[in-house]
Amino acid sequence: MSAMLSGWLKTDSASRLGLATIIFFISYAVVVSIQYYRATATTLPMPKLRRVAGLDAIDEAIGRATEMGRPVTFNTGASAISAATLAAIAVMGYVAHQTAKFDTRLIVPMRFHEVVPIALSTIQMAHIEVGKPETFRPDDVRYLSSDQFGFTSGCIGIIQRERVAAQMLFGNFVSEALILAEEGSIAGAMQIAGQVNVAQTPFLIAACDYTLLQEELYVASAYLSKNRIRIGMIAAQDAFKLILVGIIMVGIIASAFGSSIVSDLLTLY
Amino acid sequence: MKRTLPLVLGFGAGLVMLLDSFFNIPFVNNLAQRYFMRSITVSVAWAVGIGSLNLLRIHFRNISQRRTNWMFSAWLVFVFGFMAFSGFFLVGHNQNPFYTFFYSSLQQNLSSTVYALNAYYMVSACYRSFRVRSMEAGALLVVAIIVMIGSVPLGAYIWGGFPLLQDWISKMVNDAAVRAMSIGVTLGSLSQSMRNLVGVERSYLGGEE
Repeated sequence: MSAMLSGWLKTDSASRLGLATIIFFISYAVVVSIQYYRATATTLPMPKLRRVAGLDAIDEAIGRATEMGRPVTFNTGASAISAATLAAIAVMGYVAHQTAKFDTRLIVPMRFHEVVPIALSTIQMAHIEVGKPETFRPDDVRYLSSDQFGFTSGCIGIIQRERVAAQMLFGNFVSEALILAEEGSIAGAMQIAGQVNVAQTPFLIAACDYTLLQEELYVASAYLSKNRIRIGMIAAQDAFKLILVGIIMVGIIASAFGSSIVSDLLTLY
Repeated sequence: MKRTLPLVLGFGAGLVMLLDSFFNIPFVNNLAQRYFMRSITVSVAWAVGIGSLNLLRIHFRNISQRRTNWMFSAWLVFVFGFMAFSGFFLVGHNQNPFYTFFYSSLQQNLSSTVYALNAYYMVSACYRSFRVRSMEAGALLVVAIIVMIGSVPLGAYIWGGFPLLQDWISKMVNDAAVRAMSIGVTLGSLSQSMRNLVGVERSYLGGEE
């Protein structure tokens, strides 16, 4: 069995059947959930998502900026195209929609060239969807620098010069997170952050008004759009997490009794 | 068609890369490594052009319309042109001493200066978060004091148990929480990737429908 599988599977790194099985199981669960919720859209109640205060506060932050007549800034993080960046762009689409509706300026500083066209088209489409294509300002999507602290100092300048009323930090941030958050705090901006870097989370919790905890970023687009299929996928993700917790518990109990059966199974190839 | 074609291309390319990560299928491995990985390099090169044009367009507009602080835009355009010229046309390109002088003596030092702001901001953020306004904030303050004292030689001098306590908090309590978060992030990341792959999440194409 092992010899047969090793011909097909890559065994040169951590990509062993244990890991592959997990990933394909998730894929399977996700695809099944899509089909399930598509098929039963009208007959079954939608899974309930618990309230996420940070996401509820987005409208409040935009409302505050509108009342003050000052702009909102949105950062998509310090990684190029990644799952975290795509999740941030989904939130940015919602923010762009709301700011376009209320004629509030949205400034998007960019660190990576490849995200610029995506941000431009997302914000332009939001303006078209609310029926105000003429209010779209391409100059507000600003590529600053690919250098980490060149980008950071550019952001500091924007926050101070434009006196932003709301600052949103979504995506994957590294050591610039605290500088950006504290500069926003000094400018008196309402701050909402959602990022996936565990090391930076304490800084953002300390500095921002609202912080999404890790995976809550990936729930944001389903939460904001109320899209039935996306919510179904979140439910599938939670169900799989329960299975993983079960595997971990069994592994803990087994290893307490001196057995390595679970770890052996997970690394089998 | 404007939406369907990118979705189909995205699904196909994502599937090939996924299969390449786990399986030894010569056709798929060849396609992923020889063509798709190279196409990433090419598309990123195009994106550099788009980013540079975006930067220059904004600042040329600032200069031509004499917007507030337009002179900073003029300085940026000058430095951009200067460094680009040095990198492209001087002998040795980005290894030329003239170019490396400006890179190592100016750019790197300025980066380090901005990075150093973290030291100041850590103190100001700590000050705000350590104000005891609730039970949770009080617990945070106590744990933070133990960890801080346990991390410096003074802590061991005061009481030998501080470093042990700090080590226990870091390894047992903190690591357990970090690992739980990491599992959640990994699953969330997979779910997000899958939503993008199958086209359920298409906001990156501009708008939802």
